[in-house]
Amino acid sequence: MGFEGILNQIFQPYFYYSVIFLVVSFACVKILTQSCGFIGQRTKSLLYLIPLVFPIAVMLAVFPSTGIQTTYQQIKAVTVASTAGVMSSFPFGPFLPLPPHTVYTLTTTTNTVVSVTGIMCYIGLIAGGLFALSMVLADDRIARKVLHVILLSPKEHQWLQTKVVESSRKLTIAAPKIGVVEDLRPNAFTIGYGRKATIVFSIGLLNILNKDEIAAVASHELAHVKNHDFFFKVISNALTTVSFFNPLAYISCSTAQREREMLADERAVELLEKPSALADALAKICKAIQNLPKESVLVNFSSNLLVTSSVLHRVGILSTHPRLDTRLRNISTPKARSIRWSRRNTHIALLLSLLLILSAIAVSLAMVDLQLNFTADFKATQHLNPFTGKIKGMDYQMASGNATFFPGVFTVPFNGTQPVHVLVYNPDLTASIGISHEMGYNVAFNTQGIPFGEFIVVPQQDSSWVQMREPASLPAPAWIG
Amino acid sequence: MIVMRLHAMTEDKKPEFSQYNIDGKALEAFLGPLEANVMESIWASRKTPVTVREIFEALKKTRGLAYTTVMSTMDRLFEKHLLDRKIEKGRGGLYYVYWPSLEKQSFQKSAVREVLSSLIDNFGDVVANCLVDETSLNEEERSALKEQLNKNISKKK
Repeated sequence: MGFEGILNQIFQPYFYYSVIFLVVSFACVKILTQSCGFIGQRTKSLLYLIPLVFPIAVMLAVFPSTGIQTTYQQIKAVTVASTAGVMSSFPFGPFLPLPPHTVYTLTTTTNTVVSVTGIMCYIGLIAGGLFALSMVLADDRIARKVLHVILLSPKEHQWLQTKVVESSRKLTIAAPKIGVVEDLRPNAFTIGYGRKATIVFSIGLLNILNKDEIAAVASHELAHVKNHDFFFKVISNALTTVSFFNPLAYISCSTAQREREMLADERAVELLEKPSALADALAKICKAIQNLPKESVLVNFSSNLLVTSSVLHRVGILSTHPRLDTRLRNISTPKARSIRWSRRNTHIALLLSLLLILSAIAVSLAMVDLQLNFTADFKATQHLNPFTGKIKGMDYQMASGNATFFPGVFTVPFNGTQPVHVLVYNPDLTASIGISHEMGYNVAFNTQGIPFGEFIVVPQQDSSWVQMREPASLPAPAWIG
Repeated sequence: MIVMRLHAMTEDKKPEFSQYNIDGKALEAFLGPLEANVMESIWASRKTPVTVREIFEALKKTRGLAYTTVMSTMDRLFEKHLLDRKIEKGRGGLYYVYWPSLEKQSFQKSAVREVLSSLIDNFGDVVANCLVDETSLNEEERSALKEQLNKNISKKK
């Protein structure tokens, strides 16, 4: 696959649009969220889903194809003895056979190549759909089994179970089950949703935190249940899977999930009698995990898919959790929380989002237009140069050997001495081109016979006929090219 | 229930038998009922080393034990040097894996020796006489054996 082939793969609309829309809309959302400090975590997390929705919308509108058709046209010069055999097809007489002459033949070859980008889009769509479906349908028992979660019996950690029930009542949610995992690293996470939710603590976490701090971590996890973060995570991960070939999708997804963490922190603090306990717990956990070996990326990724929120997290741009200092600042700054959404702020944010998204679409369309122009020039040069060397806003297509001429001026080598008057049939009706000498006789060609001379192609409006004349005898209408 | 306190083993990493329970059956004579269950389960396990979860799941079928109970029992057995443990890194993160520091036979031998040694230290010839009385020898053979044993025990002292 040469450079042209790669370009051809990239510029398939389903791939090209899905990538460009995601990139531009991500940039817009980033600018919006950075510049508008009043936007809350919930809105931010939803805004970061917008770039992930674009590719799926594009793929549904322009369905991906597994094959790309490429057309190659070649001009061959063949010397023929006579055109007597085709003369009778021309309706005007009298006819004279042409002397031996060169016939230029346009041959069109259509090749179908595998669309790598199309297949990638299909894989993304199928994998994303299957992932979402399996996560929603999967039984919570499967997730517990995979992650080796042991449910606590009613007699174990009774104070914690009571605390969770109390907090759940405050949040008006069904009290989730509580489980433990043997992991010695401090960690807590939630699996399942609604009544199937299970909050899981690692033995490491239960060992290093005091009761208040464990209750704070439990509140954080309960906030995730209340915020329906299971579904948020499933949707964001499924949408990311659709655009798995775009690195920015992962960044957008993890940014959205970080905002949900901050939201859960805020909600947890509201529940706690000692709000500082959450900050203490987070600080202790971060300190403890610094000294422990990290899990491999694959293990981390696979287990991360099953859990709604894990205290352990990846570091850096793909992290699903904010940095500790950001979280601590978030939960310890009452000002940040005191800014409540007003109707006006909501309208401003929505308007800004709309403007940014529209500008993103405009930029994308402008880029597509540039790309189309590029393609048109490319085609015209390929097809017409051998005949004319001169193009003026015209294009034509070859289909089954018939030529369709659009308005324009073109020049071809003329080897005759007599002025010519040419009539071109509408190729929808016939495959013939007529050439009429002023001397009073007609010569018929089929489409293989290219007329020689400099002509003006004049479409006859309200008629299926097109006239071609010498420039001298008929000036080109002003509206032509 | 009569519980006899035995000398705690001070030597590092040597199994520690802190008690002898006269009413206890088999291992429960030396260990608490839970500890005995856990040790039996670990010895019976085909896979070594084992995690707390594996033993918990094995015991859950026969006894309704809680995970944290099994965990604290295994932790106690480690403290007594009856179990060894190390941190292992696996799919579930970092976790302890345990294995017995002695095979079952060696453990029993070691425990019985500890108890006997304690009895002999405290009661000497009475222990020898009692042991001989438990045998199926005739009177003459018993007298000879008692004399021999008492002599040897006195020498040891």
